[in-house]
Amino acid sequence: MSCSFLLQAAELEVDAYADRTTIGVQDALQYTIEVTGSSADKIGTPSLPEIDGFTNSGVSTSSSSSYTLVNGSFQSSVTKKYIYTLLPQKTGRISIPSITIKYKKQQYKTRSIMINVVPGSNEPAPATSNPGTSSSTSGSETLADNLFIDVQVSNQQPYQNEPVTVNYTLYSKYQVTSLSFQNEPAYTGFWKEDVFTPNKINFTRSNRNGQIFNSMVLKKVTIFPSQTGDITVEPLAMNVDIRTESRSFFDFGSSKTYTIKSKSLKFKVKPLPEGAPDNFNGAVGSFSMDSSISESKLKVGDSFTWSVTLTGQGNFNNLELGRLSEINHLRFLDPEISTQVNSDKISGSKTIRYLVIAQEPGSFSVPPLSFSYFDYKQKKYRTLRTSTYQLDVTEGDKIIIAGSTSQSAVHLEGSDIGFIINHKLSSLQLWFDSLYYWLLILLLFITFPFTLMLQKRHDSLAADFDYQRQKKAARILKKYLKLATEYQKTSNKDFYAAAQSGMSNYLTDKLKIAKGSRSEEIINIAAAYSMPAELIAQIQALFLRCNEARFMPGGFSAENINQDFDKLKHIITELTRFKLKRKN
Amino acid sequence: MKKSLLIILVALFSFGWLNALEMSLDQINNEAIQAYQNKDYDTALEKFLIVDNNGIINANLYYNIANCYFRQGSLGLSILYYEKCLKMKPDHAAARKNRDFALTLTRDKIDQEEPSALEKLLTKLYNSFDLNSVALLDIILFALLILLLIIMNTLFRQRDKSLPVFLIFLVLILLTCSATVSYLKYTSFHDTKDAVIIAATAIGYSGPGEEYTRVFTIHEGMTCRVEDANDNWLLIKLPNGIGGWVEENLLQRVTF
Repeated sequence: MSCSFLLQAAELEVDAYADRTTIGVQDALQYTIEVTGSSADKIGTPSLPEIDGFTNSGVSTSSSSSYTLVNGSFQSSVTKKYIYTLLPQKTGRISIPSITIKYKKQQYKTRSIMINVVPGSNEPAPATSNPGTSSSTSGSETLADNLFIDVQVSNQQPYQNEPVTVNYTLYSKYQVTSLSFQNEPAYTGFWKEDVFTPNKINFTRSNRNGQIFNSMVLKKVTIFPSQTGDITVEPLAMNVDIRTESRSFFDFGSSKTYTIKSKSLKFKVKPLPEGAPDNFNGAVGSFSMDSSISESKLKVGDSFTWSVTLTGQGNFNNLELGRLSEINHLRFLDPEISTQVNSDKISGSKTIRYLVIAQEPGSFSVPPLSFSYFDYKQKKYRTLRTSTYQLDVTEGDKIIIAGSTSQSAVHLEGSDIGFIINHKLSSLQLWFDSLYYWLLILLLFITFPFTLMLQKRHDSLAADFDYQRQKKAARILKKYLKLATEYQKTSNKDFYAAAQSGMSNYLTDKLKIAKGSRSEEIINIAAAYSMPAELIAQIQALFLRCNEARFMPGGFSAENINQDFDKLKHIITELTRFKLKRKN
Repeated sequence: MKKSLLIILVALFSFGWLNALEMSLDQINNEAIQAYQNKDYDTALEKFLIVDNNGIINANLYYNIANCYFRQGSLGLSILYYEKCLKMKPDHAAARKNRDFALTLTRDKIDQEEPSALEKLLTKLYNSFDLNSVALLDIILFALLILLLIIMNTLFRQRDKSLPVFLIFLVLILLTCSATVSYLKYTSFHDTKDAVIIAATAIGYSGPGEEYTRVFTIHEGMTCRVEDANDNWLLIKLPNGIGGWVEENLLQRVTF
């Protein structure tokens, strides 16, 4: 049983209908898609395709449930209504196509509906509740004559950036219970400032073309065209709930919702004419400028404010006031700019305030600040100029300028740069770029291997033992000679011993023979070297003389000692004079 | 009659011109200094610039030119020449002082972190040598190293070498430091990336062209680094790290 219930419940019924088939182009059409079935609330809101001639301005839903007993079985049914508000865009016959709804792989189609759109409004006018006059005298029967939105535009052919005010007013002969915005224009191509939006329903009586209406301002905006050419602003649409009059005792009256639209606005925006001044910055309106200076006589280090105020009407929010040009020895701090715009978004004022510090004594003039704008009423450009101010700055106390550099805050005692340097003219020669520098480095560098080479040569010689002995020989000789010289001075007999051993040691080293060799052997070997025979004879004679003096009784005599010393000296000079070479 | 007058005029003119050419740069320089002392800053600047255009690289000359520009009110150009002077001679105290003063008058203030005491000390040490003094230090240390090596190989041949080895290491470390500093200084000396804004205002864009987004507006005297170039546009980096493309003719590089 439950199975059959589910099967039945899966079935849906889909229907679509419109509230009227003939509507005025200013009216709104209510197009409803109704889905009935137990699972009707499980489908999503059907999306309408783009319909040529209508714009979809929103959907509302409602649902109701019913339970029925059929043949003893209990059935539930849900009815869901999707109510679309369609606004016609043109007159003629427009077809709303068939809508397909998919549910559980099944497709349900609605029928297509043909709508006839006629000009104007053919909304049947409910009975008016015109205040004051009797309803019968209100001549018109159509809704559009009794309930409409009027648009007032200050200028439909503005210049670019010229402020334009747009006021929307609702006129009604009915009792309006509630209001809501259905569609607000986007004002594409304009800079928009909202001036007024009501927050409660507040009708006032007004006379329009001899008829009494309840009227209410719906919206006030100020727009500034940002592009030139033809611009269309789409209409403002409102949902208006009207209470219908009770027609009989049992009819308490009810409320009905109408959607009404304003006209769409067509603008022809003119570009600003040629011949703008150089400092023109896009300001359009009518302005006046006023400037002031707080002090004109001051000391170094004092500050003054220079302020300029621009008042008038125009596009204040997009307004650039020029900057003051800097003056030497006057320090301009960053200006303080304040803008104050009145609630109409057109009139207002803009103030720039500079704090200026005098840094040097002297007399300065603050140049004027000029501001150009396009006066759209007079249709020409105007330039405003502030007055020129004369300043007298006298020497003040020493000041400290606490300014920050890119490095850090510096505290300078003076307020001026240092004096120039009387310099001698010489151009910088970079040592790193000069050849001599690198040659010097190279020279230093090769010194090291050069000394190493010298060292090596020295080492190899030192390693030679015989060479060492030969070198030592001269030292030994010197030592004995010194000793001998001392003995000779005191005529000591030991002179001969010293002379003999000195000569003997020297020769053995020089001749590379064993120490303590006898004098005969030394003489023999010496003869083998290239030693002059005369010198050998002298050496032999001296050796003999030494032996005589040392060992022969009476061989020593103080007189001979000087003579022998001379001989010894002669031999030594002769020996050191030449190099010993072995005879071949 | 007319013709002869013309000839005389031409002769006089060319004589004067030749005379000016013959006048040595030294003389022009002295005249410029004289003019500055007489507060004739325009003449002084003109003459200093003649010397500058003749290829003279001299820190004091740059300093004097900077002072002339400052007196004339060209803040950007004066900062440029102070920077040139300091680039050549980082220990030029007068130029540093004047540059810092000039910077207080620029419109853009960029907050930078205060360097630490150690950083300050190192910077001061680094800046206290100009390039040639480092070159001299290099060569002295190098000579000392060679001398120590020779001594170690001769006098200390058969002795304990720890003293000469220690000294050699010490000199080697000093030499490495001084060579590194030399290298850094040499590259920064020949570096052409530093620049100063000389136009009153310069707008930085996100790309090389005015059609790009505006990133910043800077003013005369701002220092920056040039990072890249494209046609007439240069990508500059401000001290606080923000980058942007600026038209080439609005700034001038700190080069010699």
